[in-house]
Amino acid sequence: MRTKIFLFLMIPLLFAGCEEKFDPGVADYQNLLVVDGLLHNGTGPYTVKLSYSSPVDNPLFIPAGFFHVKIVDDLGVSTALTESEPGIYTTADSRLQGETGRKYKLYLTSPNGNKYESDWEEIHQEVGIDSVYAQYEYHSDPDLNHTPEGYQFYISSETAPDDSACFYWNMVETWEFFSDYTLDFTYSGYIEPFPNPDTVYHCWATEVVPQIFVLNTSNLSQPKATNFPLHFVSTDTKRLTVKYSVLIQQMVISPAAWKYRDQINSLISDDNFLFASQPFQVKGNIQCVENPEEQVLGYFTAAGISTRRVFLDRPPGVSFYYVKCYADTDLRGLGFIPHTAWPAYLTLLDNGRMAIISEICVDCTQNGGVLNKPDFWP
Amino acid sequence: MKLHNLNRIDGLILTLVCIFSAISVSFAQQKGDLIVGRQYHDLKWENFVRQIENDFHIKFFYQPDSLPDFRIKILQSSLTLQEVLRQNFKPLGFQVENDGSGNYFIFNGQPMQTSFADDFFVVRDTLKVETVQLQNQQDEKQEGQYLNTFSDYITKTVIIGSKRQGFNLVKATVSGYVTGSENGKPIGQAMVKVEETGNHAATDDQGFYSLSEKKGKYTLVVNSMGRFEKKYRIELLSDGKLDINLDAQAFMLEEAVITSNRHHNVKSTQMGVEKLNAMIINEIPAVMGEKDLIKVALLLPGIQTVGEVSSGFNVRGSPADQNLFSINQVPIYNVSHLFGFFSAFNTDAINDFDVYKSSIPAMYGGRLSSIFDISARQGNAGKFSARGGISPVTARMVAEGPIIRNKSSYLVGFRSTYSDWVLKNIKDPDIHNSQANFADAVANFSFTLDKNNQLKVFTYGSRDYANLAIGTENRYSNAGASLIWQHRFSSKHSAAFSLASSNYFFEEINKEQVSTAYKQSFNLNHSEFRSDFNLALNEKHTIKYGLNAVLYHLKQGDFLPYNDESLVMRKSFESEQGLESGLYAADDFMVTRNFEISAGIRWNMFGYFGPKTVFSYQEGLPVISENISDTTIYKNNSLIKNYTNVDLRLSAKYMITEDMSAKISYNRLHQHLFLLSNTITISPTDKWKLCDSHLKPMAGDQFSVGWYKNFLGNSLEASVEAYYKKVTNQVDYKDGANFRINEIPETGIIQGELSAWGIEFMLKKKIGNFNGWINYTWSRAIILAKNEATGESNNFGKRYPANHDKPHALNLVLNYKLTKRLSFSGNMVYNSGRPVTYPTAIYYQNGIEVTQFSARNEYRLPGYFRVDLSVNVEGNLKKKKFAHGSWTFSVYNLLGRNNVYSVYFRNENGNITGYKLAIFGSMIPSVTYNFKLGNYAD
Repeated sequence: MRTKIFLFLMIPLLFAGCEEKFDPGVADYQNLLVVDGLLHNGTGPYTVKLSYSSPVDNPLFIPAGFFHVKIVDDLGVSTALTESEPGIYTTADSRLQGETGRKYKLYLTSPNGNKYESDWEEIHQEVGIDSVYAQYEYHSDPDLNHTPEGYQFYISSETAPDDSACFYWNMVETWEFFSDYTLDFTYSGYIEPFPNPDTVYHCWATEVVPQIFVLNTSNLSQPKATNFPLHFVSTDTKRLTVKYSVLIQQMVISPAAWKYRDQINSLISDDNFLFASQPFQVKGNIQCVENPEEQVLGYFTAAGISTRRVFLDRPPGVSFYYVKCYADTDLRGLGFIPHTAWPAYLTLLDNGRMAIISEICVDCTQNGGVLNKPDFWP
Repeated sequence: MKLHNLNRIDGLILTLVCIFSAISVSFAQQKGDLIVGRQYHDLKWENFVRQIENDFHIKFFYQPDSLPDFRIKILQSSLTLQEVLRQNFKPLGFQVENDGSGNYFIFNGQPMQTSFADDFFVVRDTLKVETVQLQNQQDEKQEGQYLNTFSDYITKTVIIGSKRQGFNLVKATVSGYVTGSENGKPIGQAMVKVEETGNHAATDDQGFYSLSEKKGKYTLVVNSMGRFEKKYRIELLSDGKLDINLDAQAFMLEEAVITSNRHHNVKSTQMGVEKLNAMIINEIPAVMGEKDLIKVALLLPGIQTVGEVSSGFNVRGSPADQNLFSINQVPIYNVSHLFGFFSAFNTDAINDFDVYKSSIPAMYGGRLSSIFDISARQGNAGKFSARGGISPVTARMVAEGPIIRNKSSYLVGFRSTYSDWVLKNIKDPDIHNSQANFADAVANFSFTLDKNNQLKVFTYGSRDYANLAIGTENRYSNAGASLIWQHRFSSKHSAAFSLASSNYFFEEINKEQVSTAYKQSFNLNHSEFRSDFNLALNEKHTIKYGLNAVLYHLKQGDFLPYNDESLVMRKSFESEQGLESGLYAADDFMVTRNFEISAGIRWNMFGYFGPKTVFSYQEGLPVISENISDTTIYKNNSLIKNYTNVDLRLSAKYMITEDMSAKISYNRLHQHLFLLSNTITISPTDKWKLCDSHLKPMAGDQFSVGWYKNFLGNSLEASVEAYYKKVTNQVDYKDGANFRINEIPETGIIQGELSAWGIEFMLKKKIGNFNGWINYTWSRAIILAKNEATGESNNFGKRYPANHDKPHALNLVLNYKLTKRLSFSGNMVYNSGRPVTYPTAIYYQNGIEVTQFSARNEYRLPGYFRVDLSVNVEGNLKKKKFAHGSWTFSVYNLLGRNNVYSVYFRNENGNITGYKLAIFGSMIPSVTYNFKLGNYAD
């Protein structure tokens, strides 16, 4: 019997590894220059973002301002970029048009005179998008207690003119949505009706899909993408509640630019810590001219681009899993709201009762939306 | 009759005499006859005692103060010791008795106090301890004392050969077997020495020795660790046989006998050899009480591991796949259970193991770094016996006995977890719904056909299954068998022929995500024939030669979607076939008495055979699928690529003094298969891969020098060894390579260079109640992964430390036996943290957060420190009992230190937070019960 008790006590230890917060205290790699540039054969303007790397425990976009930035082509034509926002450098309209087959190089000079340049990058012939479709699917996620469902996007390209092509897809998604509640009253010591309850109720939000999708066709039988899975839009957010649109930019990039993104992807997708893969340093295509030892991060990419925008309506009869705001019908709570936090917001529920609601639940601009309907929206 | 009831010392002595003689009746005849020569004449009494005790392994018991100063007189040459003593002591009024087992009691016959005076017995280090034990265990001795000590000295001259046969000869050879007197088993590594000339030979695994000398009279001294020395007077007339039985020292079973041969360290030409036997494995505290020979090996200098749950280990800076594990010639390709928590060998079924770190004998080939040669225990040919144990994790059982008494024996062992049952009782749903179990089994049959032929049949199997609730399912297994025929052509020429086969299989199912659920499997088959010959040419040359051939068949398995819902693309992997053969010859050449050379050459041939699709790549461009220029399809069994290469072994030893030597060695080896692994530690799903037309054999050169010294009659060994090793064509994996889905492995590999160097200090106390070792190693292992021809590299072509590069390592192992029933064992481990690649910065590309890592292995985890302790309590020491039990209480990581196994990072609310993971982050106590049939010493 004693032995049994012992066994019982011992076994959990086997699997209960001990995990603790740990700060390796690495400070050697901060404030490295980061380049994020894209030049393509579509219409400009083109943007180069310059920033500094941030510590791992406090990620931030730290703009690198006051650089001299220019793009030079293989004919020697040079185009300067101007800093439109801190760290964001753009070409003036129609000053530069990326051309297929032409090679480009990015030149940077920092405010204290350090010179940086990229490798030569060629704009490859773009490949057309054959079809994009979305399929309603159920995925699995062990961290959630429901099965995520939603639209999975797939893309098929036309066949590339060369033996092989490296594809890179960038998706910019826009969705129409409503706030959880209408803003019917405000409270600043006393309740008064809000003049136009619809003003902050209806928005459109736009975001870049935060995933990297790349495909190298070199070991495929044909240089094309066939039903290649892109992003998955689940009903865990409001994206599909009204109308959803995504702008797909299909780019043909150089093998080196493909490798850069592929390597970043392989580092992101690894989470097996008992038998962890060896992480490694990913090197971009920017060097410091005077000091090749200085690490510069990021990539200046040249691409042949084709785009397509697709729209999706709200899928009928499906469940949404986003958390709706809590509406507090106990109005005595108003008395506890300090003056400094006025005005407080109130809504009229469907059953005609009044409820206290936080700003984010009534003002869709607080959720990343804009009130103006985008031009492309039908 | 208890000790304190005695009131006369002679009464006590008589009691002791009774007990001793009751047990050792058979020896009594010989002991009474012990003859002392005239060379002891006129020695002072103290000196005489010292000399006689030393020469004959006997003991005197007397009260020093009561004896006057006097000198021993020996007036005749053929007197027995008893007679000599009586003659000398009678005039002084003392009586002399002996118990027939080598204990001589001198007393004056006067009534004495009722208990021992503190200084009653001559106080000498070893004697004192035994005296104390005598008192403690008196009551048990009543039942029957069997733990007596005795000595043996054969006084009659043994005539070897005949005058007629040796008439024309100057020299003659004496040869024979050394066996244990209790069970007739051969004693390997016993030392047989001609006292007068210093000429000596060690017995081989079958206990065989052979020595050549000029005809004449000699004293032959035979000794082996844990056994009483025997001396023979021999008269060598012509070639002849002398078989020798050695008696076990009664305490042998509990002694931590670290090496099987006392003189090995200093006198052998071999370097970098570590030998451990089952006893030491069983003494060292283990995780969950699960005795583990690999964990014990990690306490030796130059052997390290990446982390606590990695199945492989690293010898002198080499990756884990450069070690060959074999148990009775069956190679084992995965030596761990439960992903590396435990090793796959049941220590009850193991006799001993040898690790060769540098002077790898020429008979072994195919691995660059080390040979881990495990010998399974041979069954007891005398009588049936069984033993087993229960630990928190497993239950194990070994049964053995004669098939034909004293001729052939069997041993079968089985070990299995019952962890599934335990897991079910745990509330945590992830554990509750998990399954993890493993088992292993051995069977060892040995048949002595006649004096010259022995047959051994051995099988081994192990299996593992884990179905974790997180959605992964792993199973893997080893299965192997060997058939060994040992044959002796003559006293000088012997051979072993063997057939061995080994199979390693794993299957992995990952269904964490429905859409990416996959399964894959792998199967490796190793079939080997070998023949090894040993020719003792003359007293200066011992030649070893032979050949072996291994046929490898690897089913690389397919990467398949787990079910219809999975979106995983099917990936097909072709099978591989290879034939590795080797032909070798080696000579141990004794140049002078002090200078010995051992040289060997091994000629390897490796053929890689179809069917196979082989790609060619554009010259000078990276080996990636984009650069494939041509495809060739080879038919079944057609030769694709052939490699031949030559291994060299060279070592030399110079004896500076009788117990101090210096050695130097050079080794060149080749390896034709390796593990495909891009993980930091070996994962149970790593596949083996043969060298092929793109991946060249790895070649390793190692140069080492060493200094060896034994102190205090060989009981203390000190050594220093330094080495430099260089491996060319070292396989390294390209950044981000994923061999699960990469159908063209060569595109994920860069062959570079591994440099490793270090110095190892070792101090070992091998015998006594207090024994153990301490070692310190300083070493480095640096990799350069760069291919000039294709322009490919890892870490931008810069050298970086290997994952197992841990510069400082300190190990301390201490065993202390308080009494025969109670012993303690402890060890302490310190090593530098392993190198690690940290995330160092965050940056943004197109709005996506990207983590930047440091240069490869630029940083280091915090150091590793651990203390373990165990207490072993034996059951009573009665002679007549059905079974004997013992309890082992052990605590792993006594200080509960959170040693960092790995550091990883999680994205929490947009911030990357570091975590450290400790595998055994707290104190782990455990209790193990062991039992066996028969008494303590059986």
